[in-house]
Amino acid sequence: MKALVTGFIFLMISLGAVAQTTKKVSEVGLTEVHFKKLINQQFSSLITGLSKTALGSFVSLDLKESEVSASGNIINKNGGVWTIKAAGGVSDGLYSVFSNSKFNAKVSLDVQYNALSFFNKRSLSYYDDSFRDYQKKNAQLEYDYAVKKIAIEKRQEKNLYVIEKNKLTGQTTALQKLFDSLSKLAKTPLLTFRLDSIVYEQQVAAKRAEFLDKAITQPDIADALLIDLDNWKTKESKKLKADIEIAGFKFGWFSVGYAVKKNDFKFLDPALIPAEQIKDSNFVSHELRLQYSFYNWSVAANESYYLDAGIALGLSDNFSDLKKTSVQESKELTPLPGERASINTYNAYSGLYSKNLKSVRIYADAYKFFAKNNALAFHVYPELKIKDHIKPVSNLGFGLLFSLKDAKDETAVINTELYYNFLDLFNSLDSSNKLFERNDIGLRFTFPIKFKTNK
Amino acid sequence: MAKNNNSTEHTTFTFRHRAVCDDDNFKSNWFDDISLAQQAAQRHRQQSGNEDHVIRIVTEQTISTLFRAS
Repeated sequence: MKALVTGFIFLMISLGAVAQTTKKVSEVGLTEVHFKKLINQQFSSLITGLSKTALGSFVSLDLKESEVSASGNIINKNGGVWTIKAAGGVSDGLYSVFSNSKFNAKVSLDVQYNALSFFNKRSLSYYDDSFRDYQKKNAQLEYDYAVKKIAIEKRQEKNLYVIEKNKLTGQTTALQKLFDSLSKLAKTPLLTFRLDSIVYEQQVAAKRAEFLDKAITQPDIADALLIDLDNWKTKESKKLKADIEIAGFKFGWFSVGYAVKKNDFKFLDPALIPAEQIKDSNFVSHELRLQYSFYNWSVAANESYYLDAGIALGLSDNFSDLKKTSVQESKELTPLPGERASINTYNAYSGLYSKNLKSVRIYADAYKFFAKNNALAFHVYPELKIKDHIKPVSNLGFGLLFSLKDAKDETAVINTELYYNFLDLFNSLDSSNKLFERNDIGLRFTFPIKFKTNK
Repeated sequence: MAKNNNSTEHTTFTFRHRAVCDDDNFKSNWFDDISLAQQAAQRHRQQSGNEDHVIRIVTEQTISTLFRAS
């Protein structure tokens, strides 16, 4: 167990160190910073399933009557993404992980860190028209910024106020002269209106002069304005950069995960006396995963594919091999037999139960996408399971993924896979069933990542 | 593949371009020279029935990072 945790921490540190590279700027195409930002955006969107991703933390909670499941994501500056999934029993809205220093029933926790691989090439494809539009808007932004900066540095606003004040003083003097000369004339209704109008203009001019005096005598705030200007440019630039239309990408990433789960169940041993046949049993299983994934996504038809391969080291039990039995227990509620009884029904598991089994699972997935908008995919997923005292078991699955638009919300896409899994390919467990009978057939709704399909 | 002369010591950018049609499955080969991708787009449009197709040029930018012991 210690070795698993130590290995997990070591890998975390290694991946963090790998994520640090130099930052220089290119003049053709996207700058290195911009390029990496867009790659990171696409990457975190695949991992978190969020269409608009930014640095930060996100969480979704599904609170049912007696159980809660939560999943959260933390996206860091280097593009690394933490995903955390927790599930467990709740009572009165409390999710208790430990109680009296013991793991609570039904608790599971899965933490995974995903980091882009810097060992292989990373590609980003974008529409040329969209990029030119960005360049044009960015050039305009740079120009606007430069002009605004000169205006601040040269105190142009204040200069204009001083010029206006000077002009206003001249206008006020001319208005007064006009008023004085008109006042001397014989009064007519029209002249009265004219004089009132001049008084109005004088009062407005006085207010404007008051405003200009205040503005002119205000302390110099050029430094503060320059900070505001830089912030404005940064915000506008971010909006422009995000508007570039992505037409494809290629990159690989490593994922390291650790999962812990406690399983409580009732164990049935029919060989014992009735009072001792049912016993409470539990086991805390651990799993450490290391996975490499590669996704080549393109808007062009029949080019996209996704590959992953991984190894999972675990400490588990053979719970899945036990046989489930429904048990009914009746208890007489009155002294008279058969008058009233309560019946308690629950599941118990029987068979040869083994704990602390060391296990290794080696697995891979390959998805090849077809059709317009990558709406179809063929999936192959081999798996090799090696467990203590049990012969290695090989499984081989095939699937057909359909990407369909949600009937309720046309902007949402639902990915569904029809799968056929050949279990125990080489019949290591000496089953009497033939190869085509040792199977698992069904529909899958969860996938390794959020595939970009049916846009 | 076209290499960027301004690449840094540690990272190199390469570029290639092609035409992709929004209305059918047409995609041209990749070209180092964008004008060749534009010509491919024109040729596709000139084919009968493709007059109203939306054909866009896609640029692929690839970054390679070199790790050196300092």
